Amino acid sequence: MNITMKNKNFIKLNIIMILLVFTSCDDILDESPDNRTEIDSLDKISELLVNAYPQALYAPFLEPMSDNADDKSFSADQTDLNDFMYDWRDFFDDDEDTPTNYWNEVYEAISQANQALASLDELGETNVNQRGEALLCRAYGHYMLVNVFAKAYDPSTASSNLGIPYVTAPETTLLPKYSRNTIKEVYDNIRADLVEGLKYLGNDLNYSEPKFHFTTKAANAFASRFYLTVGEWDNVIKHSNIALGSGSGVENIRDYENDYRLAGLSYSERSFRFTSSIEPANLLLIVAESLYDRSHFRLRYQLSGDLARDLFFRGNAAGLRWSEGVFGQDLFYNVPKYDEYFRTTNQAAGIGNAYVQAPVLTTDETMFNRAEAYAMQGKLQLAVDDLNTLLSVKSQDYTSDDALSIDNVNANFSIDPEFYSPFYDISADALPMINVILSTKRAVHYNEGLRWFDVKRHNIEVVHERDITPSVSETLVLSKGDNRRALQIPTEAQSRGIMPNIR
Amino acid sequence: MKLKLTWLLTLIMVFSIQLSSAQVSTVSGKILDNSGLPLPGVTIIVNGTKRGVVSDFDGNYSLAAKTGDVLKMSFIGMKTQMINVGKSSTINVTMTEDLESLDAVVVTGYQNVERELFTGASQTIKAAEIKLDAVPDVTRSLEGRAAGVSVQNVTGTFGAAPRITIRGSSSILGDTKPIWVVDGAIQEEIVDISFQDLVAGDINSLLSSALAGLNANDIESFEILRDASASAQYGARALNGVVVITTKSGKRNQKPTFSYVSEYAVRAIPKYNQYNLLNSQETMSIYRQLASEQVGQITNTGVVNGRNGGVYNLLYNSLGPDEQGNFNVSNTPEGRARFLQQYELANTDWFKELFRSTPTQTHTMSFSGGGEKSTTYASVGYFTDAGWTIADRVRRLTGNLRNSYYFGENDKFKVTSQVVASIRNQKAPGTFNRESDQFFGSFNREFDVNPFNYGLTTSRAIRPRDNDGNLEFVRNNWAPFNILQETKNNSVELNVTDVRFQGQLDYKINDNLEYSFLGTARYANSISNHSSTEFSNVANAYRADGNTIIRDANTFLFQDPEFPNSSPRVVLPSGGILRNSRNTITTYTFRNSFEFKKRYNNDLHGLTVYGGQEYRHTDRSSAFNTGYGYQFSRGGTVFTDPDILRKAILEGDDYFGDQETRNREVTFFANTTYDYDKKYILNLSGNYEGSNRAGKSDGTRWLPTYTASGRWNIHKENFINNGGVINNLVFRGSYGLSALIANTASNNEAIFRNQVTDRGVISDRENAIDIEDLQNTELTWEKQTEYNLGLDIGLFGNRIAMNVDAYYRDGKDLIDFLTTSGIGGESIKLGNFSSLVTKGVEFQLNTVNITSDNFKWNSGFNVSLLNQEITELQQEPNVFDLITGGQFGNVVGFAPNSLFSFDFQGLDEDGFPTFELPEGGIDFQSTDDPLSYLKNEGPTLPTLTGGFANNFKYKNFDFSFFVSFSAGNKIRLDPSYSSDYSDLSVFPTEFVNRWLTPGDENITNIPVIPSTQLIQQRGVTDSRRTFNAYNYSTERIADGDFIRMKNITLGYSLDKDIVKKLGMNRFRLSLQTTNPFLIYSDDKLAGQDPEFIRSGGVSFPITTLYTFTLNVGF
Repeated sequence: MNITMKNKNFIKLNIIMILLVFTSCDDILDESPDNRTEIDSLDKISELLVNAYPQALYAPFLEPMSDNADDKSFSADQTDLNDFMYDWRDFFDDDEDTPTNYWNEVYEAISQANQALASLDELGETNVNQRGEALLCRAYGHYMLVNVFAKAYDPSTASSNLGIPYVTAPETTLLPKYSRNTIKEVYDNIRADLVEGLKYLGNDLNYSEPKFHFTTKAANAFASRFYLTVGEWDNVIKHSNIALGSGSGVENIRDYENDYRLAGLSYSERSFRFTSSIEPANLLLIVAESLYDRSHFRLRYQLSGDLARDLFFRGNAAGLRWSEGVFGQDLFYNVPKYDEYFRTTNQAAGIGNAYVQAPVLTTDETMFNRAEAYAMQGKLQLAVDDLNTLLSVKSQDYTSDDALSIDNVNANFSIDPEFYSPFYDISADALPMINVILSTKRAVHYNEGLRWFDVKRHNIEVVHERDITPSVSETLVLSKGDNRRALQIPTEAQSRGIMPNIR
Repeated sequence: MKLKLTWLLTLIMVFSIQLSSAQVSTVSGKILDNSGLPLPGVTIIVNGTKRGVVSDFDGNYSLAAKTGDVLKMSFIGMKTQMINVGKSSTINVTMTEDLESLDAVVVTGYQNVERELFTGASQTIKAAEIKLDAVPDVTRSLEGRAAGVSVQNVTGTFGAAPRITIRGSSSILGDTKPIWVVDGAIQEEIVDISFQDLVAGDINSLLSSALAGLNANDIESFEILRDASASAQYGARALNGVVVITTKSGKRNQKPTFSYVSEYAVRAIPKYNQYNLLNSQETMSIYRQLASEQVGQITNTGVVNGRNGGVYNLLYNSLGPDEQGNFNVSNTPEGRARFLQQYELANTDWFKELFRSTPTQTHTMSFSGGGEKSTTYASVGYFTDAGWTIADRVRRLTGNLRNSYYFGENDKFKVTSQVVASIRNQKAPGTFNRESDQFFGSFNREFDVNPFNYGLTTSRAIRPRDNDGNLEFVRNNWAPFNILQETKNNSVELNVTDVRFQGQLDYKINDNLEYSFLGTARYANSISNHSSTEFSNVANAYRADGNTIIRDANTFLFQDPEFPNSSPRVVLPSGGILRNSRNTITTYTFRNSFEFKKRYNNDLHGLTVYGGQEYRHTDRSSAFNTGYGYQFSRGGTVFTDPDILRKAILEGDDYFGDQETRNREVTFFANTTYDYDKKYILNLSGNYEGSNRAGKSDGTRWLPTYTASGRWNIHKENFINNGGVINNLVFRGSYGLSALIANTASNNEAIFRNQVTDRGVISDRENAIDIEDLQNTELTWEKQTEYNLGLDIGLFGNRIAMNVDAYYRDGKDLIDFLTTSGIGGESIKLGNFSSLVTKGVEFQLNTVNITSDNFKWNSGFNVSLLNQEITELQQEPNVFDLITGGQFGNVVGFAPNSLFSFDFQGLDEDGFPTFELPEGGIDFQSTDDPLSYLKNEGPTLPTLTGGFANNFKYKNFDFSFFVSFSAGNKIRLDPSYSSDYSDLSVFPTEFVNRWLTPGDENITNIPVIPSTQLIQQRGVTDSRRTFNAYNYSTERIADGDFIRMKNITLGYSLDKDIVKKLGMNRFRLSLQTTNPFLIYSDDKLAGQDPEFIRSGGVSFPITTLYTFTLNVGF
C-alpha cells in the first residue's frame, strides 16, 4: 500500500510537471527561428518605407512605345523587349525592365506601404510623418500602375473603364482574389491617399536620405503630376509652387548649362550627376535592378540619327543649341542619364546584379506641369516665363535676349488642333503654348519614360517606321484611342483571374 | 485398521521427510555458449518467482531452488531454456543461438518493443555485419543493405553526407534527408543544407554529415524505421524516415573485455586510362587547330593579355629576351614548333603529381565490462588520413564513455550516463562557393584547386615543372598559376569539436509501470580558415595590372566610382586573404515518459501503454569574416589598403557576417499496443507536436499526427502447426499520417528582414526592412499519409527468412513555389500546393545455406522498387532547373527532380549542334512551356536499389562479399563542350571524331571547334548557349544503372584455444577491399562514377580502398 501511495504521488508530481511544461511551451515556441525582425517601433516603420518605392524602371518599355523611338535598322542591337514595345505588342517576359517586372515591383512597394500603415495602426500612431509617407507611396504606386496598365484618365469613361486593383491592406492568405477597380475608383483612391498623406508630411528631417523619400517637395511634385492628369489646373499650380519654392525656381532646376556643360563633365560624370542625390533638380530617386545602362544606347528602336536631329541637333525653342549633350555616333546616339551600379554576389566570378538609380520626380517636370497649367488657364505670360526659366539653364550661352515671348510662341509653334486631344478642350490661344511646352519637355526628359505619359494624356498619335528588309520598310501607327495604349495585364495576373485589357 | 492406517500415515510421513531431505536447496552450474566458452550475463530465474541471479564472468551461477522448480535461463540472442531441477544440484547448460530472436527487439529510440508485437515496417541491421573497414562515416555503410534506403555517394569527402533517402524523397522543395537518432536523441547536422548545396562542393558540405563525429566501431546496430507506424513517435519530423542508431554498451556481470581494432587502408590513385581523355600529343594537335588562322581561337594578343593561358602563353612569354638578354626561343616557325614540342611530349599524369597512396589508419581501443550493479563501455578512436591528394588531410579523435548503474530494491533504478566527443581536423582544397550562371547555362567556380577536378579538366600538355625542374606557371586570372604551388597556398583548415552528454534514468515504479527520463546536450563547433596566402594565385590576381588592357579587364582591381575618369588600381598590394568561418550548433533534448505493461487473464490479453513528452532545442549560428592583406609569411601581420574594403563594400560584398537560427520543438506522444495471445496485435499512436518555425504566430504551430497498425502472427495459429516448416508467418498492416514542418516556408506571419539598400554611393545608403514573405495564414505542415502492408515468413527455424513490404504514400500540402498575380506584393510565393505519390515494394531474403561445424554459408538479398510521381504542382520550372535536375526542376507527372534534355537533332552544315527549340532559340531562364521541346530522361533518384551479400566461414577463415546495385536514374555526363576553348582546355577522346568539314554532319554528332569568325557570325552569346545546350542534350546523358562490387573481405581468426593461451579472447586479421570495381555501368559514362557528382571545390569521388584490419580482444 505504501508503495502504491508513493507511486500515486509520483504520478501526480509528473502530471503537474507535464502540465507546467505544456503551459510554458507556448512561450518557448514564441522564440524567433532566425534573425528576422519585428515591426515594433516608428523607426522600423520608417525602414519599411524605404522599400515602399518601386524598384523598377519604366523607361525601358515606355520609351520605345512613344515617339521618342525610331528605327536604327538592322545594324543596331535588337532585344525582344525593345522590339515588341516598338510596335505595341503584348510582352510577357518578367525579367528586369519589363512591364511585368514593373507591375510586380510596384505592387511590392505598395505592400510595404500597406504594411507600414497597418503597423502604424497597431502601434496607435496616427499623426506622424510615416503615415504621410506611406499614403504617398501607395498613391504614387497605384498612379503609375493605372497610367501604364489602364487607359488614360477621362472623367466621361472613368467609371466604366477598368483601372487596376487598388490594394489597401497587407495580404494575409496565399492566393486572395483581386479584381480591377474602375479608373474612377482608382483615381478617387489615389486622390484620397494623396490629400490625406500630404496632411501628415512636413517633417523632412525624419529622413536620413531625403532624396529617396517623399519629402514635402517630392510629394507636391507628385501632386502636381496627379492634378495635371485629371486637369485640375489650380491644384497643379498650387502644388507645383510648393515643390518649386518661391521666386523663379531657376536655382532648383537642372542646370545643364553650368553644372554639366560648362563644368566640363565627362560622359560618366554627367550620368553620375544626373542620377545623383546632390543634383538639386532630383526630388525623388529610385534604385532599380536593371540592365538598361548596358543597352539603351545601342538598342535598335531608340535615338536614330533623324530623331537626334529633330530632338536635339536642330536646337531648342529658343533657337539655341541644347546644353544637354548628345553623345555617341550613328548607332549609339544617347544622352547620359544612366549609371550602373553592379553589386557582386561572387567577387571571384564577377557575378552579381546590376542596378541603376533614376530620378522619377524632378523640379524640371514640375515646372513644365505648372507651365502647362498656366497655359490652360490662359495665363500665357506665366506659362512662357516658366518655359524661359527652363530654357535658360538648358541652352548654350542663353541670355535674356533669347527669351521667348507669347508672340514668338504663337508665331512659331502653331500646330494642327487635332494633334493634341486630351479629354478636355485646349483653347486655340493656348495651343501653341501647350505645344512648345510639351515639345521642350519631350527633349528635356528624353529617355526617362515620361513622354509616354504625355502621349497618353494628350492622346497623341504615334507613327513608327520600321525596316523589314534593308530596302523595304513599314509604317506602324498607334492611333488615337488605340486600346494598346493600355499595356496588357501580365499573364500571371490574368491566370489568377484579373481581367485582361481589350485588344 | 486404525493402527494400520496410522502406520501408513507414519510411513508416508517418514517418506515424505526423507523425500524432502533429498530435495536440493541450492543449484549451481556453469553456462557455456555453443562454442564451449563461458557465457556471463545469463539471467536465471526460478520460474514463477522473483528469485533470480545472473551468471558471472566465468559463466558460473548459483541460486536457491528445489527439485521440481523450473529454471528459466535467458540471454539476448540465445534461445530461452526452461530446465527442470532434478536431483542433481549441478546443472550445466549450453545456450544455443536463437536465430529467430536475433533481432527480438525493435529499438525505436523511444521504446524497445518485442519484435513479435511490433506492427510497423522496420529493419534491424547489426553494425558488425555491414561495417566498411576504414570508412570513417558510418552512413556510407548502409548502401545496398537496408531495403527502401537509397544511399548515393555523391561525394566521398570526409564529413560530407551521402544522399540518403528512405522510400524516395517525400518533400518537393524541403528536406529529403531522414533523421538520425543516436541512443534516443535526434542528431542534427551542424549546418542544415539541401541536396543542391551538398553536391556543390562548397566548404559547408564538409559539415553536412550528422554522424561524422561517430566512430563506426562504437555502433552496435541500426534500426531503419520505414513506415509511418514504425516512426510514429517522431510524428511531425518523420516524413523522410528515421534511422535509429544504438551504440555499444557494457553488459552486467560481464568479464571486463578490452578490444583493439586497427585498420590500415590504401586508396587507389585514379588513372588516365579509366577516363577517356586525349593525351598531350592529341591535345596539342587540337591546340594547333585553335591557333590556326582559320579558327583563330588562340591568338597572340589574346594569349598575352587574356585572363587564362597555357602552352601558348608560355610560348609568347619565352619569345622575348630573358633577364640576361638572351633569346632562348627563336621566333621562327621552327623555333616555335621546337618549343611547343616539349609540351606535346609532356603527357603529364596529373593524378600521379597530385595524388598519394599514403594509407589511412583507424585505431579504436574499447573497454567493456559490468558488475552486479553497473556496466561500462569506453572507447577511444583515432582516424588519420594523411591525404589522398596533396590538398587534403583528416584527423579525427573520438571518445565514448557510457556507464549504467542499477540500484534500489530489485534494481528499481537504472541510471545511464554517456559522454561522446570528437575532435576533427581537416584540410581541404581552398575553395570559393560555386555559382550557377543561368544566363549561359553553366556552373562556375573560380580559383578551383580541387586535385581530382584539376586532373580531369587540365590539359596534359601542361607541365608542373619545366626542364630544369623548377615549377612552371601558366596563367589564371591574369596571374601565374601552378597547381603544386597553389594547393600549398590556397587551402582550408577545418576544426570541428563535437561533444554530447546524455543522461537517462529508468525507474520501475512497480512491475507494470516504468518511468524514464532522457536528457541530452550537445555542442558542436566548427571553425574553418580559408587561407589564400600572398603567394597564391588568388592574391596575385588582385595584383595583376600588367598593362592597360589587363587593368581594364581585371575585375579584382578597384575603380573608384567617385573618380569616374580614374583607371583601375591594385588594392591588395601586400598579403593574402584569410577567410574565417565558424558554425556552431547547440542542442538539448529532454524527455519524460511512462510505460505501462501488463498481461491479463492468464496472459491472454496484453496491454502496453506508452506516453510522454519531449522538448528539443536547437540553436545554430554561422559567422564569417574576410581579412584582406593578412601576411602569412610575416607572422600574420595585417597590411591592408583601406580601398580594398571600399571595393568590397561598394560591390555589396559583406566582408563579415553572423547569422543565427533557432528551433524549438515540443512533442507529446502516446502509443498503445493491445495483443490477444500475442497472435493479434493492434497498435495506435498519436503525436502532438509544436514548433517555433513560424515564430510568434500560433497559426499551425501544433500538428497532430497519428497511426493505426495491426499484426497477425499467423504462425501461432493452430492451423499452421505443420511440423515445423513454417516457424514464422506474419502479416502486418499500417496506416498513418506523418509530417514535416518545412524550413522552406515559415511565414504564418509576415517575415520582415533587415537590409541595407543597394545604392551605388555609400553615403546614399540607409537601413531598410523588407517584407521577405507576406503573411500566409493558410501555411501548414507538409503531410503524408501512408499505407503499408507487410508479410514476414520464416521457414525451417528461420534458415529462410523473407520480408515483403508494399507501401503507398500520398504526400499532400507539400510546399512549393507558385506564381501569383503579383498584386499582393510577392510575385512568387511558397505555399502548400503540391502533391506527390510514391508507391513501392521492398523485398528481403536471408538464408542460411549451409551450416556445419566447419563450414557455414549464409546469404542476404534485398531489393526495393519505387515509383514517384508529382500529382499537383503550381510552380513553373525554368529550363536550367529542368536540365540540371535542380531543386526547382519539378513537373507534374514525373518524379521530383527529374532530368530533362535538349532534344539533339544532329549537327548543322557548320558543325553546330541543333536541337528542337521554341521560337526565340535557347533561353536557359525561360519558363515558357519548356516541356514542349525538352525531352524527359528520367528521375535522378534511383528507382531500384538493393544488395546481395554472402558470408562464408570455413574453420578459422571467413570470407564475404557484398554487391550493391541501383538502377532507374539518369546521369548527366560531365560538361566537356564549349564554343570557345583555350590552350588549357582538355578534350575527351571522342573529339577526334569531331565535325571538321561540311558533310561530316552525316557521320558524326561531335560538334565543331568553331572559328572566331563563325562565332561572331552566329553571335557570341548564341554560340556559347548552343554549346552549353549540347552539354545538356540527349547526347550527354547516361543511365545511372550500376552493379557495384561494394566490398570483399577475407578474415582469419585464431583458434579459441590458442587465443585463450595467449591471454586473449579474440584475434582476427582481415583484408577488405571496398569499392573494388563496377560489375556493370553504362559505357557512356567512360570512367565517370555513376554515384559521384563532380563539382570541384572540396568534393572527391569515392575510391577503391584496400584495408588491412587487426582486431584483438582481451
